[in-house]
Amino acid sequence: MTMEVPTFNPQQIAQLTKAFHQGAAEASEALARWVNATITVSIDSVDQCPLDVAIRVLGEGDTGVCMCLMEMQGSLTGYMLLAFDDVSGWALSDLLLGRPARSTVEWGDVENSCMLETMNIAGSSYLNGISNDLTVRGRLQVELIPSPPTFLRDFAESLLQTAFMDQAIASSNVVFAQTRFNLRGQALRWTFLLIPDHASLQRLSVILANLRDQ
Amino acid sequence: MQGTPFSGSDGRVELKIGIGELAVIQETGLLRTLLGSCIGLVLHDRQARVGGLAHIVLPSSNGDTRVPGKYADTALPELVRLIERAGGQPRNLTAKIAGGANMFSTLKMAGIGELNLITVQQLLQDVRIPVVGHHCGGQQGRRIAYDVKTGAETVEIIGCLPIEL
Repeated sequence: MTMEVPTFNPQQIAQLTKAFHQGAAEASEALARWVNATITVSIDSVDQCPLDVAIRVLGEGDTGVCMCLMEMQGSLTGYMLLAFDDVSGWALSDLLLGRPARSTVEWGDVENSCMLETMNIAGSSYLNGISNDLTVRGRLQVELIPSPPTFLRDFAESLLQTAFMDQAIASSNVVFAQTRFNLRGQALRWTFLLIPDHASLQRLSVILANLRDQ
Repeated sequence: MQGTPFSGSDGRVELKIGIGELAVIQETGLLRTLLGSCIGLVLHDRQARVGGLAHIVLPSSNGDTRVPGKYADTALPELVRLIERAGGQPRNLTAKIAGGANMFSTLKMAGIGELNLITVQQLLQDVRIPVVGHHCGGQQGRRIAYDVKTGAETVEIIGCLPIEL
């Protein structure tokens, strides 16, 4: 029989959400400096749901999406990904490159680099925030190291099947954190997901048991 | 039968097969699914015009029989059983396989797609079902559609022309 992923209780989810909020706050701050505009956290949640529900978190499965993907290494392991549609990605590229709005209409090396660097900044600061929060509240060293990001463009469901695969090996339920952002008060069509692997879910249970509210 | 029905353009039965699901249809209709590192296994009996599609996620069930479509070692016998029940004959079956991509090839789950593929191929060989078409591997996801009337399987990859197996 397969092992079940530990189910977090509401108190543990609240503790996890607090840590992810900290991550999202640091990511927002770093992104605001990067794009030179106000970026705020729009939604931040920790979800536990069946795999077939999770793989539709980006919308219709056969929608083509872009994704910048980073591996999380260190005390906790898994994936972080930033998903967005073409138009949103091109809009950010225009902003970062100082071009008039709607100038970019296809992906090239420069546009890819813009998104990869955005992910690098968002992902690194997000992990930094989580790591600091868990270290301070848990009184143990939680070190989280991001890998270099990679750019993918594919069917949403195909990408998410692969991102959740490690958890799917162990359980029919999966756990992930979801964050969305506002840019200058407008909701961005970006979805930032943090997907711990199965081993990390077990480690998180231990870490959460030792957390103290500050 | 698993799968989510949706309206076909010409009134045919069309089912979307979700992750870990399988379904069998007769005479006319389409089965569709989206694949990453998972395998889409189609078994088709041309004479009886019966066939099915399984969306296989992992190679081995390790004894878990709750979701037979999810694992290669439970999906294949379950597909064969349902096809027989619908009037098909195991000796008439042919197989088509798609998927098994290594989408995050530089990262830790690299290899799961290949492992899925090897397992499905071995299981088909064990029960002597010939593989008459395959479109596997690579680094991109696939959208596949199986037409039970013709036995044709269409494979779509973003940015490429559709391929018929």
